[in-house]
Formats: sequence, C-alpha cells, structure tokens
Amino acid sequence: MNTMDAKINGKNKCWRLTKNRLIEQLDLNVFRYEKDKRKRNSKIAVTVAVCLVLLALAVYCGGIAYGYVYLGLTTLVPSMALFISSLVTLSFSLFKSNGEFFGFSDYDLIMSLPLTVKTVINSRFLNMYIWNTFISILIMLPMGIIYLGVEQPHFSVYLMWIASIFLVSLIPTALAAIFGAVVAAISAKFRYTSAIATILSIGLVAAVLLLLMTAPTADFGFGELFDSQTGTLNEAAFSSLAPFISERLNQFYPPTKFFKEAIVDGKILSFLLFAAISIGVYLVFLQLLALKYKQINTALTSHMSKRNYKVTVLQQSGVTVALYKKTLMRILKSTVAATNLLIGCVLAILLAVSTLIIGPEKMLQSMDLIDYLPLAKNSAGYVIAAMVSMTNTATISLALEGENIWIVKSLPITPKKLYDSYLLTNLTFTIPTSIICSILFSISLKANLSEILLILVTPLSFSLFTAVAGIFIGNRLAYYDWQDETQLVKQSLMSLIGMLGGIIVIVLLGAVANVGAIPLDAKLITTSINVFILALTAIVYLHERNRPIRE
Amino acid sequence: MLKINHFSKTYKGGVKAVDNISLNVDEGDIFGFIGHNGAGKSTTIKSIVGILDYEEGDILIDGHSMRTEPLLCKQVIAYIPDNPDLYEHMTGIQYLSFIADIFNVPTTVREAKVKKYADLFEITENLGDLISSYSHGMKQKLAVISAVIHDPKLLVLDEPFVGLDPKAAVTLKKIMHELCANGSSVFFSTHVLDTAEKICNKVAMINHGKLVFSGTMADMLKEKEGSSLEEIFIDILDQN
Repeated sequence: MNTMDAKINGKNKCWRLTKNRLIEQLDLNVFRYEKDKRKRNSKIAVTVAVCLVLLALAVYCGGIAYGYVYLGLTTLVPSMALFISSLVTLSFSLFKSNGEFFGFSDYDLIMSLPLTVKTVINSRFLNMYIWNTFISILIMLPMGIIYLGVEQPHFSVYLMWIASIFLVSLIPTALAAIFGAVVAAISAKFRYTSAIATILSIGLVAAVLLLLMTAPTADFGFGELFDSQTGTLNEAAFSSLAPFISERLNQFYPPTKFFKEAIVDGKILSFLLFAAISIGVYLVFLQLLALKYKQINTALTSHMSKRNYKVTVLQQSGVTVALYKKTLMRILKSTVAATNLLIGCVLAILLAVSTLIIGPEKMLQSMDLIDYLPLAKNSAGYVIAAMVSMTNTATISLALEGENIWIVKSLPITPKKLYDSYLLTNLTFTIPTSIICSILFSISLKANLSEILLILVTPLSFSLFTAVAGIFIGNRLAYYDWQDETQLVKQSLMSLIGMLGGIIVIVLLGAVANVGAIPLDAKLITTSINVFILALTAIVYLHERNRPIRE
Repeated sequence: MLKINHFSKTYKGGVKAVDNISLNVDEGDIFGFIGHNGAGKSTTIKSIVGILDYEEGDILIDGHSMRTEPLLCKQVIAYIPDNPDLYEHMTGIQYLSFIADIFNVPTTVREAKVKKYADLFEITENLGDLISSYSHGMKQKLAVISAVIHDPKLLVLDEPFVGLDPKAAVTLKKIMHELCANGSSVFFSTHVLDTAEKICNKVAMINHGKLVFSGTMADMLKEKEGSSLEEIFIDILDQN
C-alpha cells in the first residue's frame, strides 16, 4: 500500500469510527430496528422535543442579531455570533473532552484494531467537532441570515460566513481537548485518578472564572445608554458602544478580530488568517496528543494494586447508610459526574466568597447592575438556590447504576431506601453549600434577622425540591444501557432537565418575588413561595417513594 | 424452598421467553438448570431473584411469593449473575461490607465469613484493591463470597463456573455442597454438563422456553442407560 492509499484508508477508518459513535449517541438503530413500539415512539417524542428546543435556540439567536440591528449595532453581529458560538461550544466540551478521549469503554477494542493513534484521536475529535459545528450552525446561521440580509455585502462575505460556520468550533474543541488531555495526563500519575481529575477540572474552571471576575471591570457606563431622567436613548453613548464591545470581545477572544475584519471590512486576508489559526490550533493539538496518547490511556487504565489487605475489624452500618455511602462514592469517583454536577456548588461558593471580599455594591457595579442593590437581600436566596440546583445528582443516580442495576434489584431493599440514599447524597452537596453561601451573603449584605432567615430558607427549600424532583425525573427517564458516563451525564435528556429545570423554576419564582408584579411585600411573597415549594416537595416525595425501581 | 408454578414470561413485542414451567427445589437440593443459548434460563433465573417482573404463574421462595412479598423472598436468596458486574468504584472489602450491611450481618460473623471464603479463594490480599483492578475470575470469586456472607437459604447462580480457574471451581462446588448439607438449596444454570452430572441431585432441562424434563438426576440417566447427561441433552434438543 503506498502512502496516498494509506492516508485515504486512514480517513475512511476515521469516518467509520466516528459513524459508529454517532449511531450509538443518536440511538439511530433504535429508530431503525427497535421492535418495541413504545420504546421507539418515546425516542421519537424525545427527539422531536429536543429539535423544538434547538429550533427555539436558533430563533432566539436570530432575535439577538435582530436586536443589535434594531439598536444600530449591526457591525457588532459578526463578533457576537463568533463569540457566542465559541463560548457555548467551549462550555459544552470542557468537561466532556476527558471522557471523550481517555478511558472510554471500547478503548481496548479500538486500540487492538489496525488503526494509527492519529486515526483514533481524529475520530474522537471529529465526533466532538460534528456536535459543536451543529451548535455553531444553530447560532451562526440565523445570526448570519439577519446580518447578511441587512448589510447585503459583497458575494465573498457570504462565502466567508458560511465557511466560518464550519471553522468556528475548531479552536474551542481543540482547547477543550487540550484541557481534557492535561487533566488526564496529570491525574494518571496518582492513585486516586478520578479524585485528582475532578479537583483539577473544577479547579481550572474556577481559576479561569476568578480571573475573569477579577479582570479590570468595564469602563463603559451601560447606565449612560438611557437618560436617567427622561428614559430616552442617549445617542452619543450608543455610537461608542459598538467599538467598545468589539474591543472587549477581541481582548477575550482574539480570533473575533480577524472574523470581524473579514466580514465587516471584507478583508479576505483576515479570513485566511482566521482559518489558518483555527486549523493550525487543531493540527498542533493532534500532533501533541498523538505523542502521549497511548501513554496517558495506559496510565489511566493500569490500576494500582497493593495486594496487602488483611481482614481486620469491619464496621457495620444500617441499610440506608450503606446505600448512601455507595451512592456518594459512585458520584465522587466518577470524574465526569463529579465535575459536571458539583460545578454548581463550586460556583455558588465562589460567588458568595467574591461578594464578601469585593462587597455587593462593587460586584453589582462591575456588572452595571447597581440599580438592583435594593433587591439584593431578597434575591440572594434565589441566586444561591439557582446555582446550587445545578448540582442535581439525584436525577442521574438511578441511571448511574448502569450494568450494576441487578445488584439493587436483587437485594432485599425497598425502593424508598434506595431513593432516600439518592436524596441524601444530593443533599450532602447542596445543604452545606446553601448554608455556607447564605451565611456569607448575609454578612456581605448586612442582612437583619428576618432577611437572614429568608436567605437561608430559600436555597434549603429549593435544594429539597430539586433533589426530590430529580428522583421523579430519574424514575421516568433513567436507562441503564449507556456506553460511557459522558453520554449519560452530558448528553441525556434527564440530565439536561435535572440541571436546567431547577434553574428555570427558581429564576421564574425569583422574578415573581422581586419584579413587583404582585402588590405584596417581597418578603411575604418569598415566604409564600417557600411554603409552596416545601408542600410540593412533600407531595412529590410521598408519591414517588414507593414507586418500583424502573425496569 | 423454591417452587415455580406455571411461570411464563413474555417480553415486550410478544416474544414468549419462558412458557408455563413448573418445578420444585427442596431443602438440600443442588438443582441444575440446563438448556441451549436463548432457551430461557437467564430469564427464569432473573425472575426467581426478583430482577424481572412476571405476569403469569408464580414463584414461591420459602413459601413467599416473589410477586407480592419480594423483600421476604430476597432476604433468604443470594444471586450470582453470569457476568458479575460489581461496583468497580469500590474495593473488594467495601463491596462485601456493603452487602453484609444490607443483610444486617453482625460484624463478628462477617469478619469470620470474609476471612474463611477469601482465604479459600485466595483473594484476601486483593480485598483492599479497587474492583476495577480485578480480573473476571476475581470478580466472580468476590461475587461468590458476597453471596454466601449472609448464609442464604437459596443460592441462585447463572453459569457460575464460567471464568473460574479449576481450583476455584472445585472450591465453589465444595461451598455448594456445604450449603446444602446445612439445609440450604442451590439452583444454578450451566452449560458444563459434566459438572452438572457430578454435583446435581436434581435437574431440569429447558428448550425454547418450555420445560422438557424435570426430576432427579438418577431418573434422567435411567431413562437412557449408558448415556451421559451431555448425550441425553443433545438427543432431547434433536427431538425438539
């Protein structure tokens, strides 16, 4: 076989691997071959629902672009489109890349096949790239339609925009993959690989967030956009807004500069630079990872064995405690689950600590939300609750049993005991975080006793509610035949509902309590919301506790 | 100890995996359940231990129905699946402690049992390591220890000898005999017909979901004198 044949063969094999993975992720064979109509129909219903949500996202992005055009900030649309697309794809890929490239379930099988390491890496990268490009299309296509429709630039700009849709996710995907590789390479050197990987992942993200939070704050007064007396538009302030935001985006993410120059100024050279940087970052990543790929995976899959155990005194626990310890260990020892689920609690603590150090006034000022300071005391509980609710381990605890489900099904335990253990595990993370954050916010906001009580009770009630709601969701959507945890934690519908459902409910109720739409005292509304949420939690718990474990 | 009455199991899509089978396992029995791949052995076993629900017939464990009193039934059962997918995030001793906690086994008893069986299977020194580092055979051994830690009245095993080294297989057979000598019963499926012939006092044969024989091993061998269990099994499959 000559070199050219080998390259073509390598590309075919890479696509074959990626195709297999896509069939698995999209459950395409369920649509084609599943005989159980109920299972197939439910899959179709879920797919239609997801498509509708994605369509809504696309319409929303189009709406953002239209909003900019309406405000006379049309030239800002390309930079924003690229920035939003890159940020969203990076956030989706960051905690996914570790599991995508390293220690995946069919690693042994894949590596035993006559494939080069680069083919394997390429296939895993291609999978992430396809998903991320799909997200880019949803964001950049509607924004592009609005921008190009309004500006009607030279034909070459249309081509550059379309080409950019397929280039934009290369850098975020490569950055996420490098992040995953660094975490995997470091953690592989330790005995407690998963724990180290979790700490490193969360630590790196927290460090980046802190860096962003402590970066010089915006020197543009957004409050100046409207006249505070008359409420009319300040045209002078608006005219300087577009270059200001554009400059800020370039600072955060330099490729936006080249993209903006290509689209707004029609500079083909800038587009070529943007394309070269995007492809270059990917190629450098490929070369670097290929050097150490097998070594990292071998280190990750080689288990440390002490072989020195001696039977000593064994402790006895009750059934619920035994199940609780098992579930807690399961979550903490899974890097994918721990990083994705615990990030909510970490963010909440980061925000509370930052607010205490910097002060609520400066925090709100830096976000140009100083006008909302009077609402801070009544909103703090909802802010903590919304962030903490992202840590919803109860939703996926049942599905995480996976191929081990036979154990809990064959043991003499009631469903209630199992669900209680899932709830306790979830509350282990959310209750202490809620209490710590409430205390920190109460100090920084100088709250009085009744305000402290509400800041404390609100996240606690929502923590109970989201955990019980997690059991409800898991009981209906759990499945055990997942191939890897990334698929379950990052891509399943139940995980998405578990993480975002709570936030939506809390934000909506928080808005009801704070916007003044109801002519009652905000504290009274918040108290009523807490009573309602606790009652609802009790009803759902009583309804769910004896439900048979899902087949 | 185990009484299966007219049990049938139909999967979604209308496929009848098990069709109206009845059998009895008494105290002290070592009962072999044999059949070809896809005959319905695992489906029956998973229904016996309460993993699968069933619609027709009933399964009684120690006089209790698995359908209506699953907890009472499961208290006296131990189950070892054909592929022991154990909690890989736990160490061996953590897994054994977990199972012992669920069955409320007192600490002194669990220590003695762990020591006895882990020494027998020669995995004591590995108990402090993560299960993810175990070989298939070691996981199988750990599953056996976890199954006998609470002195089950009925031990149900699905293909227990697959993956075990010869010495461990002998140890398992000894444990099965020991349990039965103490009044417990063993019900297991197997493809290793030589072993079944040697250790079982009762046997049932399932073919395409239907029971084609159930009785004592002596009766089965008497039907075709001079033939081995393997030859009888092939004959029956050919006839059906």
